[in-house]
Amino acid sequence: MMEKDIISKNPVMVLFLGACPALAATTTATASVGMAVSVCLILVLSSVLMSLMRKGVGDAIRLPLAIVISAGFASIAQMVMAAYLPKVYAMLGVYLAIVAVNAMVVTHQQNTASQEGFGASLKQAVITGIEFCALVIVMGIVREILGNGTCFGAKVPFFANHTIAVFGKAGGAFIVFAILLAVAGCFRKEAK
Amino acid sequence: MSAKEVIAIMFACILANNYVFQNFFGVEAVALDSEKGIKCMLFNGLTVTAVLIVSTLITWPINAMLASASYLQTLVFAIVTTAVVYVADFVAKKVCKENKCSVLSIAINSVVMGACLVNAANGYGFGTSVLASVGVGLGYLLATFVVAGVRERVNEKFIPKAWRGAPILAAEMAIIALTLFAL
Repeated sequence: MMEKDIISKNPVMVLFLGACPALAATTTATASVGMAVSVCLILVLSSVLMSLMRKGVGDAIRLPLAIVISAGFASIAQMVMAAYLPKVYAMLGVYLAIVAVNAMVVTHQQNTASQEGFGASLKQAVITGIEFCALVIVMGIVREILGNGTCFGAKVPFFANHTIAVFGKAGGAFIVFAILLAVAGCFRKEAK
Repeated sequence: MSAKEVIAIMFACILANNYVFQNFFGVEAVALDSEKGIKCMLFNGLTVTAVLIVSTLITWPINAMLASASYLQTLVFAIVTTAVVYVADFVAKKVCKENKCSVLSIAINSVVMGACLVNAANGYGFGTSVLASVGVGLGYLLATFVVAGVRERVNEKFIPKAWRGAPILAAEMAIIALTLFAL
């Protein structure tokens, strides 16, 4: 059930939503874990807050409110990471702040959290967050092994002496992303 | 600022360091916009450029004032860019009543906030920031048209089932990114 959801409903895989951090913060596996966990927590917390406030929020202010909520949690994530994980914070750069306007986080708040109840919204946010984490972490591991010959900083036999520098660059991120989406497409019932 | 510097900044922002293909800002929006018609792509590209310029004009002095409270930067920049998008939406509705393109979707386009944050992070001066914003906006417009053109040509050919949709789009972007990286 969960595996099917990850492949067929993943907003990044199907709609490209939230692809910016998925592509930018995956040069190393460590950075990808940092970004994945941050986005997942921001998504879950902002969805919970939005679902709690949904009755008092009109359609007109839903989008700005969703952005302000996610910007608030993104700021908190930045401060926590700068205090406790300064190396990862330096790796992520401005991309952690960009989560404030992440299409996946904001549209989830608009479409799910503001329409459904607390439980349903929380469940959907957790599933979407785990899907995002899985994709970003796999991308980070693949790019670090191929681009640097290491995995979480440890040298990987064979790959350490046969690195392909392009996988550390933007073009390489798109290549890995395309291949992962195509592999996921093989398991999808109906590719769109 | 000399003419040489102006050309160098514009060249970098539009081509060599295109924010969509080298920094991934607004990559989702380009994917969505490139499916729309030429009028909508042009309208969205120019609106993004205008929003970027106005946002930079506002965020640059705010960032200078926030020097002692940098933890507020993300929140303030998000509020400013969203407010500018709402103003742009209001103006677009007044000026162009037949417009069917959604201006509000620019609020979640990471290229706007991304450019403002990069300008602040790199410590650009006021003139350089505004110039870079113009370049980033034009670079975004170029990216939309290039992706739409490549997409149209590729969709005429047979695409294996697993590669249809987002995977082939990512592959197209990979080739464009590698081409621009070579510049």
